[in-house]
Amino acid sequence: MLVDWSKGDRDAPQRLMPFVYEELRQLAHQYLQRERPDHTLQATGLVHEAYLRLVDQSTTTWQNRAHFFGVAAQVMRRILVDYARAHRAEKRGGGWDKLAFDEASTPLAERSVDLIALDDALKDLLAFDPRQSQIVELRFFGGLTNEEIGEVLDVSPRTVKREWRMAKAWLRREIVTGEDDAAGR
Amino acid sequence: MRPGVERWARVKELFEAAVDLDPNERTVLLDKECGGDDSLRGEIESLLKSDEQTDGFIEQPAFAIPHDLFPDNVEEPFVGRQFGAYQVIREIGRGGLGAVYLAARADDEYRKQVAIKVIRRGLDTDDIIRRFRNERQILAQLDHPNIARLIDGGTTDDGLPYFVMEYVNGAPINAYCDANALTTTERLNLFRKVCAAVTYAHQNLVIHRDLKPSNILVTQEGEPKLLDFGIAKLLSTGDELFTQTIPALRVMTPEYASPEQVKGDKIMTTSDVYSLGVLLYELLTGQRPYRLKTRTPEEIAHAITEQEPERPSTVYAEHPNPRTQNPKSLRGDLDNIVLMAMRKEPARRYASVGQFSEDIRRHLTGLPVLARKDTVTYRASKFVNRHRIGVAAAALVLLSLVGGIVATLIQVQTARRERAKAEAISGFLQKTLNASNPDRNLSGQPTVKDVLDDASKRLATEELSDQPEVKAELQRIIGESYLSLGQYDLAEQNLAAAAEAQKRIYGEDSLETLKTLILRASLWGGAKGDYLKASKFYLANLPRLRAEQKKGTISADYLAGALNGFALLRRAQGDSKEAESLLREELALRRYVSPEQKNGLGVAQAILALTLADQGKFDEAIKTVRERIEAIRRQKGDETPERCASLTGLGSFLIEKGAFAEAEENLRAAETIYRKLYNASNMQLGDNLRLQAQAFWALRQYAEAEAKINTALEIYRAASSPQYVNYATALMVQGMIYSQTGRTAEAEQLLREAVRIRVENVPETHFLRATANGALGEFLTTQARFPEAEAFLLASYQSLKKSQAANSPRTRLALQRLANLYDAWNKPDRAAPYRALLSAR
Repeated sequence: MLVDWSKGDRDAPQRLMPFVYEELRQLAHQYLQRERPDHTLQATGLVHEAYLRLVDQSTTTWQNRAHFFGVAAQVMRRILVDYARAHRAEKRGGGWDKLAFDEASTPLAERSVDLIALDDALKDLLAFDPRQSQIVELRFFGGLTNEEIGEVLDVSPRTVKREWRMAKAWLRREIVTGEDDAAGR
Repeated sequence: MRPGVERWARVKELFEAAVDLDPNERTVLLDKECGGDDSLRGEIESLLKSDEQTDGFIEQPAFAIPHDLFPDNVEEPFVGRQFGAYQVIREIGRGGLGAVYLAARADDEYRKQVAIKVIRRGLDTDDIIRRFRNERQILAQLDHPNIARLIDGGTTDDGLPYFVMEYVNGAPINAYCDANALTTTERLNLFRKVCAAVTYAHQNLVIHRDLKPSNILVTQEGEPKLLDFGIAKLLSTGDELFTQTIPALRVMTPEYASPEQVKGDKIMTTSDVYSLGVLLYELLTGQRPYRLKTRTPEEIAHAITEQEPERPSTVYAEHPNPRTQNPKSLRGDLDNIVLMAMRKEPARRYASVGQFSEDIRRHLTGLPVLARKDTVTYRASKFVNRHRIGVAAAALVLLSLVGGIVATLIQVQTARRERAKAEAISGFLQKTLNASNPDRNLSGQPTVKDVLDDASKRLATEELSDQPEVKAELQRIIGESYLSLGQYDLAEQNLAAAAEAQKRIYGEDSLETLKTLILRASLWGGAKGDYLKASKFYLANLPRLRAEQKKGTISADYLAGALNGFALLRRAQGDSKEAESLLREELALRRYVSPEQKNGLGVAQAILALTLADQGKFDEAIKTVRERIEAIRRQKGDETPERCASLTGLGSFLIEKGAFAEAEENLRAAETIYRKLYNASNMQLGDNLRLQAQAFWALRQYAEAEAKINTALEIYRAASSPQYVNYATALMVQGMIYSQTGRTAEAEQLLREAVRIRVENVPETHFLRATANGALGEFLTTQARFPEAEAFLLASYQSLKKSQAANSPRTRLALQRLANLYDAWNKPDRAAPYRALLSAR
């Protein structure tokens, strides 16, 4: 199933999702409750930890570390975007309401990415450049390094780096356009 | 817009080809490749533009972004609940510590709205509750129209502390300025209101420590309001918890944090000056000061402590902000003002927020401003080395000293009395500068020493005796300046007076007193040669200094200074091994320093090279000094005193290694620069010439050697310092040359004089004694006075065996000399063991 995914079968992960999703959701919840200020380390930590647990439980399913990460990134994307949707619906506060009180804010918190817009743009990108779309998913949602992404997609880290740069430029332009460039800096 | 597959392949190809080119090359490429296809060209240009602006976009994994991606199990638990007389309407914000709710008085017909801040469930640990309460107490003290007011506070039924604050319905200051398209002048006036509020807080002993746009909201009426004193710190040291420094990145918003916050050093009111500087930078340019790629905490910390921000006007020219006007007005004053507030060293910023704001006012009314380009001061401090500077530069040097005083005093004094002190200091400064007015000086060129002499003389009288802390601080600074000018007696006078006063004011064991004593100890151990007194001081106080530095009560600089002093002392006492380990400890402390403080780093590196050479570890020493030379070239340029000194050091190591020609090359390069920078009687030039003489001697070019050594000795004698450590070495070199040119009687006299000086001035185990003995022994060998030679050579070898590393060339030379002696003496059996040792190495 995982091998299929690496060859482009986009449905394979869907079948794995329920396993991974629950595991990641629980882990994510624990992480966030700990409120550690060094969130940066957590995304990768999270995925790696989930991998260890799942591998222990069912070694037969997870044969390849790289493939697991691929699936996990997709799952992370879904979790995060779903949450962003739910949150947006629930909070109709208006732009200035979000005061940062006492915020041990990570640098990006102040200009956080609109996950929903990003998700939509990634879907567009997938249509004409699936590899770039996957690279962004693995890196941004999965927290993988260029080396790890190279392993998952079976390309060189240099290729990953080059594609990532262009994908970023394209996605940023797509998201910013129509937003009157207020977030652009 | 979805491009077709072929079209996309072409876009990708051109984007990748163009992305690493500079703008001109890009134009050429696109002209050639796009032909008339404007839409293709437009697509690529817009992607390239976007690429330049990505700046951290999705660079960090998604998980690093939001705090509350996953809803808590208990959602909005307080909505609808009653807090005292207020009822919660909805959540309006959420942070690390708690949530903020909009609420209204339940019984109020006007439904006056307030903000209620409640600590987050699960975070109600003792420590956090203390912090929370602290904020409440701080806010209660502050009553200012531009600070969000505290209305009420209490504890919920289940024990969570909360408080009720003025609800500010406004926008973050940067968003407000842009949304209302404020002009530069309007922005400056708004900013000055913020300064007034911060000044008020400082006068009430509160440092905000987290000033950033989201904490400064502007109401629809255009009034700024400061929020969030959550991590504010009381200036007075009453509350134990808040005298501890909290690792900055955890609590601060990184990009507005000052270098001292990032480093975990003491936080002062000048830390708020820095954060306000960043804020003004952003308000004027629409950009943050540091160009960051990955935005990891490490990168941000590095940028804050090391990177010099670009000038606002330059940044503005690159990214014009369509919402501001008058971009040209940034150049000059405003550039200088912003960058002065943002200097890495607190002491070189504006001494207070009030001064910062006043300088903006001066700019607005067309008066000259205090802020100057950093380079002027930098140049001034460089000139100090040459002892001759103009009045303007002297004024700037003193101004930066005075900034340091005010900043330091804030730690020990209440902010209320700050103004009186600032006035006392500026009055004193004014008089000092008038006194050194060139009209009153015959040469027309007052030196830094003139200025210091005058200041120190007036301090020795009754002047400033109503401000004893200021007076002591000034005396310490003047003492330190004398120390760096090599005026040791005057330095000691001022430092002793400062220490006495500080003992009286703060106590014998106070950190203030200790800081002055660190300077005195370096004087005792250095110029005064009172090794015992100095070493007692270091042994007694280093453990405490280390502990204080760890706690953050003193900055790393002080500890580094003490380690440096002790290392020099140990080296002078002949224990270069311990000196090496002290210097390595110092270097580790100095890793994170700003460019201006790199001097200390460089000095430590240079001394480390010397201590390595002392132990005969020449390869390591050469490596260290070469790194230093490269660093100097990068930071300061080619023709600098630092570079000469390092080239000379390199030359001396190469001589000891036996690479004479290469040594001579480096030394001659250094000599050329020395002659440009200094007058012909400079001691360092003397050292350089002496080393060249040594190299020429080894290369058997005796005429050149003799010319160089004669000049060197002239320089040393003119300075009349026979104790100078290299004077004896110069005598040795001259003796060695004479012994080769047939002037044997004179040679012997010189070599014996060198040994005598060494015996009187350095400890028995010191390698300098051993090298003098060795040179005399070698001479005696050539005179066939074997038993005498043997005594000196054996003494030399035994001593070097102890002080030198295993493979030291000095020890090899000593072995070689012994073997040569016994060969000449025709005692091959005695030569054999030394030859064996030589070949074993």
